[in-house]
Amino acid sequence: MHATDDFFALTVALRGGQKKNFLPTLQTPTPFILCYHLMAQLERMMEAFAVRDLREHTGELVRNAESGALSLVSKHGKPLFIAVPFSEKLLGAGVGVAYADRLVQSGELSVSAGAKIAGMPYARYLQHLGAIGYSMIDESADLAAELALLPALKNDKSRASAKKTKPIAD
Amino acid sequence: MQLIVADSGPLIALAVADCLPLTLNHYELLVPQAVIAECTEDAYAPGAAVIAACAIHAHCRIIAFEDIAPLDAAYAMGLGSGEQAVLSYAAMHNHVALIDERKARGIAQRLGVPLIGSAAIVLMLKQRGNLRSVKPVLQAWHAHGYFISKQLQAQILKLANE
Repeated sequence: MHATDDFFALTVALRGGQKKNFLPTLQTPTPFILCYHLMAQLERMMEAFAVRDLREHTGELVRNAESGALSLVSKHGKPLFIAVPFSEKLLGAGVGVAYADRLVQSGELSVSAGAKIAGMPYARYLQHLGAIGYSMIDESADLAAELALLPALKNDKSRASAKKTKPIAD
Repeated sequence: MQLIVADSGPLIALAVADCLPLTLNHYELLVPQAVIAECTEDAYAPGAAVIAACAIHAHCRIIAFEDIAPLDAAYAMGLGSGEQAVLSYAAMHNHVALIDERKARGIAQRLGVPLIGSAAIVLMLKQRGNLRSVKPVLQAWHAHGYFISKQLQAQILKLANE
């Protein structure tokens, strides 16, 4: 089994899914036991790096990612983070959507750019953002000022017809 | 002369609330091809059929890809192709941009592009007697899964005297 598959099997097991045999000794795991077993599993399935050595092993970390393998990075002997290759499978698991949401909510990305990263059509992504409480209309909009701007526009057909003139083309 | 260049968000918002044809009775909208592509990527997405019909029947003026210069990279970062096209065309021709989206509105302000949003359009329709109430519009947005905060809803209702 590929390391990435292991990772997903592990997450499924932790969520109480079907692949419970992945952690056969855990019947009713307490957080401590779960953490201990989880770390033991993680260390067996992936290469571990210490933060202090990371600079010297950057190439190795990248090669692991390129080959689809996970890497565990620890600090002072404690696990800090797991480097997970960015794959189609990961995107399918919702990482792309979560990543896009975060960037859109922080204002780094627009909705359109976020939809691309999330792999969703614009209208669907806007619905998804609605479900997590992101306003489709900029809340800092000065509605009164915008409303005042509308009658001044040259392609205002109502105004043009009121003056009995032809609508003005661009 | 100032015309309105429309982005995907407001087109979808107006379409799902049945306000797009009413808006087109008052204003000719300029819509970049990239925006049409975004809105109609999923034919069954909210508003897609209405927007596609507007484009096919030439109820709005479609701006072809080749007629829009690329937006300066300093402004384009973090924007999608539709928003870039709207801002580039509006800035180049001194038009007004119809955008609801926060990031793109921020860039529009840096570019000096005048802005309106779909809420202002809905309020205009109410003012001109095309809508008896803005409440059904807010309800339609909610029903389609589009969120706007209670504060913004209250602001819209207040401006609509409801």
